[in-house]
Parts: sequence; structure tokens; C-alpha cells
Amino acid sequence: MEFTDGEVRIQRSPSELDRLVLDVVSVLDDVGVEYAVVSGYVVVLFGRTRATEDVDVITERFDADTAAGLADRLAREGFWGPAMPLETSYETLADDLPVRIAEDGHRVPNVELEFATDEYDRSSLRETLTVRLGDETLRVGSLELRIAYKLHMDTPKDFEDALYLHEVAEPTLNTAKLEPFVDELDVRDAYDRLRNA
Amino acid sequence: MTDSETPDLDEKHARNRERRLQQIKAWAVYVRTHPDDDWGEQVNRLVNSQLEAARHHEDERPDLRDRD
Repeated sequence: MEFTDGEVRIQRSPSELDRLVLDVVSVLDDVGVEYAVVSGYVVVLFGRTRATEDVDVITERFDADTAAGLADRLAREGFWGPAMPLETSYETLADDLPVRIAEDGHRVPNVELEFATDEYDRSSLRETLTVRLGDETLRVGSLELRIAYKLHMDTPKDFEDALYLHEVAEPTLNTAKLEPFVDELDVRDAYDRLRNA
Repeated sequence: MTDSETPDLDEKHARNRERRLQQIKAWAVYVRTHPDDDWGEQVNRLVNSQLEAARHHEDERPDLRDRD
């Protein structure tokens, strides 16, 4: 795993979960939708050995025509909406609810696509980290925000995820970016525990 | 039974938790310092087998709409 400025290169073959994410974000790129992959999947992408089957993807807000084009393209690429038909995506997204996308005929794994709804979502979209997985790329929200946000979630699993990300990316983490998130999210005690673990 | 009535169990849980955190840190260092294919194979094996198990039972799961 090689960290460079604003980019990480990972030279391993993709898992089935990676394959789903890479294929869905490739469609997002093709239809011109800005996105950031967030959630526990990011930790697994970076090598943590834990189970996950839902992948959260935040997008900028887009209009009904773009949503129709996206639904059409996803269907042509072999995806469906296991919770609601993809053709109704815009109504679901506009209600600030996630749209689930999975391989045709399956419910897991699935991508949960959602419009950015708060400042942290928008920050995830603004400050992305490009991950090159083999020859393909995807964009994830900044690791500094992910770590602080995981601490804010305040569950043992999320603390472990934050600890893992902190350790694996430690040589390149930007403390000047991380600590303001720690203070904003009021997780200074948890952050201190993480650093002393 | 309250936590204070089970000091031995509390200590055991704390020890287990500490051990788990140290294992997570050690794995992160391993990932950082070894070729990606090396740890990637192990991660992919776990992820793929978990998905296979989940898919095996996906028809028995409640409709995802019910989860929201």
C-alpha cells in the first residue's frame, strides 16, 4: 500500500465486494455524478479483516433527469434495486433516503446511495482520497474525517475501525486536518484513548 | 447482577478487549509493511466467504424495506 499526495495505490486483486463498488462508481463517473465512498467498507478496502455487506456512497444532489439516466445505466450494467425499483430512485433520494443497488437478483452485497445531507457529508465530497485498486480507481472520503466520525459513532466496532485506519494510514495522516474534526465532533476523550491504545 | 458484582468477569472482558485492540494494531502494521497481495488474499478470502454465506441465506431474510 503506497500513500502519495491525495492518492493511495493498493496492488491486490479485488474481492467480490470491491467488484460491486468499482462497477457502481464507474457508472457514477460515466453519468457525471460526484461521489465519495464512506462507511465500514473503507476500512475493509484498506485491509481490515471484518465482515460488511452494505457500502455507503454519498453523492452530490442531482436532478430527476440525471437520476433517470443513472437508473437506466445501472440496469443495463446488470444491477437492480432490491428495496425499491431503480426507476423510482429520484423520489427516494429527494426524500433524503438511500437507494439500494445490488447485482441483479441479489440483495447482498449492496451499495446504499444517498444525497449529501449535512456538512460532514459535504466535507466528504469536497475532500476525497483517490484509491487506485489495481488498474481501477474509486474515491473515498478523507481518512481524517472517517476516523473522527467513527469515534463519534461510539460503538466498540467503530472504535476498532478508527484505530485500524489510524494505524494503517498513520505515516501520512494529516493531524492538522484530523484534530479539528475531533473537536467539532466532541470526541477528544475517545481520540486520546485511540492514540494511547 | 451489576458490573461491580462481577469484578473477575469485568477484568476478563477488559483484558480481552485490550488484546483485541493490540491485534488490530498489529494487523495494521502487517498490512502497512507487507506486499498488498499477501494481506489482500487473506482479506478477500474472508470477505468473499462472508458474502457467499450471506447470499446463501438472502432469500430467508426479511425484505430490506423492512429494515428502515
